[in-house]
Amino acid sequence: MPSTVLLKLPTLLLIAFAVGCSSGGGVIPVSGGGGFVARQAEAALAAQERGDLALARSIWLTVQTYDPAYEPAKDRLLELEQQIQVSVDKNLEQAKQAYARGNRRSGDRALLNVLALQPANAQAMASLRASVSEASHAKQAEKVREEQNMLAMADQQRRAEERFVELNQAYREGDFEQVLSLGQSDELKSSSTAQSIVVSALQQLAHQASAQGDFELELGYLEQAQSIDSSNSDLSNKVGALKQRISSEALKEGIALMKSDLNGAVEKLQLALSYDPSNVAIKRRLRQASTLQKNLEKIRGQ
Amino acid sequence: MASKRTASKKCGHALLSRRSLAILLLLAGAFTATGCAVTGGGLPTRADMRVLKSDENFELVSLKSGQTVDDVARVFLGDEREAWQLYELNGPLADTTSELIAVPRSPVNVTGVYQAFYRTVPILCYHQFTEAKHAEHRLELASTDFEDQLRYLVEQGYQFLSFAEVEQILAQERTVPAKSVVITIDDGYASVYDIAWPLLKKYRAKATLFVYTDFVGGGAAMSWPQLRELQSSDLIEVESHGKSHHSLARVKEDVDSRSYAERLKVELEGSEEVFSKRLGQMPQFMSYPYGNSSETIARMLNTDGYKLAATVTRGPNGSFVDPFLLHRTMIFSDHSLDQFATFLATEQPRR
Repeated sequence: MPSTVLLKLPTLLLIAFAVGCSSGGGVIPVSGGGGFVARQAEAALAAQERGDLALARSIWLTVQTYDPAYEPAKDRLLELEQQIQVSVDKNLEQAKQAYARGNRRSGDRALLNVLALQPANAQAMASLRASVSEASHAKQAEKVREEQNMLAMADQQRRAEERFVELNQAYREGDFEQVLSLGQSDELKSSSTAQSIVVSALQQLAHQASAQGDFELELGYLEQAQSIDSSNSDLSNKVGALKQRISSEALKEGIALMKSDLNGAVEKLQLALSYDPSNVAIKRRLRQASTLQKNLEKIRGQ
Repeated sequence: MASKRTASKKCGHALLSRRSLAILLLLAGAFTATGCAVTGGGLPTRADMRVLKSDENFELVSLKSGQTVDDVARVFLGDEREAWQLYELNGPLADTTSELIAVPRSPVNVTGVYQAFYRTVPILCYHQFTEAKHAEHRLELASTDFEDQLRYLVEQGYQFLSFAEVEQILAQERTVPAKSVVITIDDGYASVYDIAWPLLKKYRAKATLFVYTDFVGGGAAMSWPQLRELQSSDLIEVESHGKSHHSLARVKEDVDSRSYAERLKVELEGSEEVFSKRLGQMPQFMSYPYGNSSETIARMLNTDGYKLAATVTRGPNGSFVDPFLLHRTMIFSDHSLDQFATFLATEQPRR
């Protein structure tokens, strides 16, 4: 660069600056890239195009700071402020109606629109915070409730585990009646593992009853076990076989009693039939015994 | 940063010819604010800045040689990471001499709500730290992982905020930063002092410690002198996590609302008394033990003069969040750095 130009440069800059400062409007060449006003005007228009009216307004205000008399900025600001106010009023009304309908989400959205247009709108901020606060408290209450339920469940689980240990201990010690009692407790009633041990205990008790010849007691235990483990075919077979056995024993006894004790015979045959309701032979014997019993009563009555 | 560190060097006149010196002197006289970019070396101060015009809304600052937009942000907005406010308010900016920058006197969008999104402040919640390579449980973080996270935050340009600054944001006294994060550490374990504190200092990261007073001074906890030391730094706030770490939500043992309120009173007054005695201050912020709160405790905190309270429920903290139900994200030892990054969203899309 020639030295004369270098020497004159400060003067030129001074002039440019002074001209810029004193102009009543238009683009002022202050920054190297083509002027502050032009740059800001472009940015404001871009913001407005994006729908960011609040930012567009702020950017125009910076132009006013630079040149309070710059008419295009004044016009744009007036236009933007009117546009913003119309939209704010509309959104505030929408929010009011949405909350009245119980539509919180829609109400919140409208208030966010207001804040995007007027970031310092105190009414929108207060209403939005109240709405968010209500929802957050509800969420918190739900969280606390869920945690307390989980704690209660964990507590129940702990108690169930303690009961289960007791149940196992009782089974190992052969205290099957205690196993049945623990199996009935609230903590273990719905535990399939515990109930499978109860079934084993019932089978053990049935076995003991069988050894003592008390087949009806044996059947009682097995039926109880079957009610817990209804899909156990082995149990079903045992119950069926035992019923047959009790029924045929009762039939034999009933037939024998027909010679000496008709009342006793009827009782035994009814018992036999109750364990094997479709047995034709029992039905026939029972009819015979009943007829004989009636005949005998008639004779006695005469 | 390099350009700022070398700013004073750019002012060195030793190699200038007499003619150049004359030009520079004339240039200096042409502007109202004279001098080079930095007076007396170091970073530029307000005295180094050239304000061409101003009104109640804005100051128009013209960059001097060697000055940058970040310098303007640091001087006028308090932090170079606030430069986003300048880029938002101005058309395309360059770090060139005479670039004219509009600087807001107060935030132009104080609530941080825009047409397409709103700005949020992520709040992270830590508990314990270990020097071991692997943590023993989820609430304990290996020091190497903590350092990785701090480094990530710094490298990504996050501003560390204190709870006092969050309070200002919620009171609309300052805007929601474009990229910020709050570090909180609950309970008051000794590992905070031994392991986390040196790292926080190293990365100049602010943190808010929430301690429960029955714990402090115990075997695994920090001592009161340690807490006083941390409190006296410009990085750490020491605040309340209650007295006993019992839940401040209503539990089944609270047979009625009166007994519940009584229990809360004991928790608050008990911890406040100890805070006052041991730290010479009343707590202003609370983190709920287990993150559990209720409308009753929130009301009591407000009445007692607390300003903010935090849960451990994940979620965005926009400027309109309930001050007594701030969302926080728990950081667990099994979180990868990629997962960690997902907890740092600072813009929430508006649907």
